[in-house]
Amino acid sequence: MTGVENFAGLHSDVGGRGRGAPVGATALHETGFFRDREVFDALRESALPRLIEANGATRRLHVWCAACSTGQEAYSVAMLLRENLADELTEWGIRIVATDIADDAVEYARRGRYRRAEVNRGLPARLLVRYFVRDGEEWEVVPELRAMCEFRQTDVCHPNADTEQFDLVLMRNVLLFLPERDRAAAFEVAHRRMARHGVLVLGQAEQAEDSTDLFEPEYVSGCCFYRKAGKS
Amino acid sequence: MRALIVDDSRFMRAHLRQLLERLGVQCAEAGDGCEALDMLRAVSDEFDFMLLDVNMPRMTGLECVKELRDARLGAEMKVMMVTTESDHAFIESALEYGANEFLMKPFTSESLREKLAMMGLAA
Repeated sequence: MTGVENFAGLHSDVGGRGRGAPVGATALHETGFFRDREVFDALRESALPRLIEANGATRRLHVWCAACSTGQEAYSVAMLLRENLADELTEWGIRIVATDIADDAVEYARRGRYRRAEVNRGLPARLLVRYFVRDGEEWEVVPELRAMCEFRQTDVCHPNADTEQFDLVLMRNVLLFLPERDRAAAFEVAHRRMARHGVLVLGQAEQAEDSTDLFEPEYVSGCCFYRKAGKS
Repeated sequence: MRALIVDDSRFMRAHLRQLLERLGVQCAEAGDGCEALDMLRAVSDEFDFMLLDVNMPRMTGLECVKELRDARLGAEMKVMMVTTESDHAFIESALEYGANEFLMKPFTSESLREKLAMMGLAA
């Protein structure tokens, strides 16, 4: 059993848990809206404006949330874009592809419905009332935000044959759980799928230098992001 | 950092005090909105933030936040509603009346800490 398979096993089966969050998503792959707020601050202040400038000719911005768990990260990116860059991004092709190895996590994310304990985590009240509608005991993401996000089941180390290029890749808090061989594979996939000028974001306790020479660090607003090695 | 905890439940006040004191916050308590406003009239600039319940006798949390904002009591003080209320329109009203954040009960210590950070309070 590889590390990824082992990871998948830990993520798997939530049968009989009804509408609760997937086991792996909460126990192993903890997530939350705007998790590690300083990362989102750095994206807003520096990385995204630079990507928007670089993509001015194509007017497209594609984001990949690898290991998206139950979807909070993808919806957080969507809110970040709508809140801060709506004027600049009018008529742009914005696309957020969010993937996870766990089917149940992907399905949960796709539903876009979160319980009180989940919207209490990391989500400012003004964004809660703007981008969610309460339905019974759950809060549902509004259609315009859901339309920005596409959720798929994919192994971060062995993605399908898609060739789509992404400007921003968030691969946070998954590498920690992978053995060295799978970490290297994940970096190769990220490198292949990332646009030439793209930005890779890892978890705060993760770094690329130990596993690959495909990326080089760049310190942005107090956070460490990565660019393809050898690119200015 | 100093906080004013306003809740008619002695248990909840003690719970919030314990969580905040672990974060190094000094706490004072009031049992309802009227008592909170009296305290603020006496020491308007004493508190960095207020945790405010909604359903209380004499004066609700919503009335309290409206009155303290209208009267400019503790003008720099952040206010977070901490309540079982979770109605969409109610949360919008609380924000319009001058609350800075909203935390729904029940909550975890981590979500309380995150909400404080959102308000720029590095607890």
